[in-house]
Amino acid sequence: MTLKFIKLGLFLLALTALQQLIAVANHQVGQLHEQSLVISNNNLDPSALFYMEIDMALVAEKSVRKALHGPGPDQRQARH
Amino acid sequence: MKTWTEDTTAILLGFVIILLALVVFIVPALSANQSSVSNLELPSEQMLLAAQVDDNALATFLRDTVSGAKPGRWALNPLSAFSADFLIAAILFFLTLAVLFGAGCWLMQRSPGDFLKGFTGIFLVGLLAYLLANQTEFRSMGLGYALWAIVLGLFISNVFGIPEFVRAALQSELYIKTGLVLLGAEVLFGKILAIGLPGIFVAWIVTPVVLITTYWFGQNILKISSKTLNITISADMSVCGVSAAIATAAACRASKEELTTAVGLSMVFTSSMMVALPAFINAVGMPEVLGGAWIGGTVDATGAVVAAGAFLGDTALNVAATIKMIQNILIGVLAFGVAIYWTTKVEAGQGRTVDATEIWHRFPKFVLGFIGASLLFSGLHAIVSEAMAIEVIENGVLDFTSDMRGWLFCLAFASIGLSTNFRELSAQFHGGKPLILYVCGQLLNLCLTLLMAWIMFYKVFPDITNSL
Repeated sequence: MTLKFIKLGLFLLALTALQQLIAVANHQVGQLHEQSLVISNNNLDPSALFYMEIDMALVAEKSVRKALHGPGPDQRQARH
Repeated sequence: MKTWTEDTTAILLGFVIILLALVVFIVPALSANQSSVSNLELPSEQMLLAAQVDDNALATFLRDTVSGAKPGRWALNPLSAFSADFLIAAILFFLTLAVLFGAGCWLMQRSPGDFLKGFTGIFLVGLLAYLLANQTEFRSMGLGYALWAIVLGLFISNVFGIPEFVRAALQSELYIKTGLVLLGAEVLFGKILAIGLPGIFVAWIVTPVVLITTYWFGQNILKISSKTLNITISADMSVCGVSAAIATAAACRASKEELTTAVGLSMVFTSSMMVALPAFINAVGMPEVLGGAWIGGTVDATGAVVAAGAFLGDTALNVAATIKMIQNILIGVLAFGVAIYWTTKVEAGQGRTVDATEIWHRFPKFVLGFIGASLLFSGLHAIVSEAMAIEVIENGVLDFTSDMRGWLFCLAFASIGLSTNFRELSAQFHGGKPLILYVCGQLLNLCLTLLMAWIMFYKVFPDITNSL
């Protein structure tokens, strides 16, 4: 039982070490620092698996469609 | 012969969730006075529909329960992740899932009582996985719930062991297949044409070429003994990471260790590429459209694509996210193609022809639920007004089902971690072949995607590039 709790302690220590390592890297490495700022400022989740989980992806698609095709069919219809 | 298998039960549960979302989100919007919106400009119609959805108490309750059951963001103190409403939302959501999947177990002639006893443990591991995924630093590196659910499950089962009563709730296949039926609803075929022909060439021509070449390389050069491991890693690397790995693994019946290997590789490389690729693009002064298309076609996870694109600028973000979205849609074709190829060629054995009955018997039926959900929502998305498609389908129904799907994948990975031992998992990496396969496939992907993006956006369709 003692060994199991030592392993649990080591696991929690490893998690804390990883978190601290990323925190230090995000502050010390220029590229990582800027990237983490972009992520936090835009409230992004880089682990999102699919486009429906991330609002910016849906907005981006609509911006591209608008740039290429102009306003959507409904908008055009409404203007007529 | 059992009437309700895992596949048919997953289809039923998936469509129950979809039907609930349709009834709650779409029916009130349709029954509202249509004449009041038909003469409005798009933004006004959209605002009116958004207000209707927000005013709908049941819709708000459903959304708040599913999203509120997840712990929030935290930096140093994990307790700050739990809001006052969290406990109620988590209990309600736990009960909903327990009833839904308990009924699924009953249909499959497994004891719902045994399931319910063990489900608490799996749900708690899922909650812990979301808690770790929402830690600021872990989140910034893209270390998501899928990774933490596997890691926590593996740690608990290999260090403490799991009580016998928990095993009845380790229904990883059922969670995954139900999640995939829900994922099908998010595969909207109308999105394919978002950026015109360049998008189709970058996402729908290069990707299958890379997938098939990598699979061939794994079989004939690396001589990977497991075809299912080979195709799962190839799909994971070439299409869209974890979601493609899950769909492929389920379609070809890969083992849980093989899926875990593919997911682990994808997460490590996605985190690295999300930082390295924009740095390289900036360093060489690559144009934003080309850089965005390159990122969209090569970085695995959609979230990481958006983060990497946003780092370069708005144009790069728009192109990267749209290319990735088009590539995401390929997952439907991928799951169907792999299921057909596996039932007719791989499982049938070399040179043997199988009849239609045998193909039907072997075919993973959940794929039909996945394709059915995709066709249903692609059709709905195409026929309703643009404002309705955005506010009710995308921001209403699919926002809810994607949260549900996230939970189901999380529970599936927790179950996989809890039922896997380190020795079985480490055997997958024997000789480093999965790593070599991933690296070689990704190098090919990087070269071909860059070449195709340059040809399409700068040589064949420069007008499109100028408009972006």
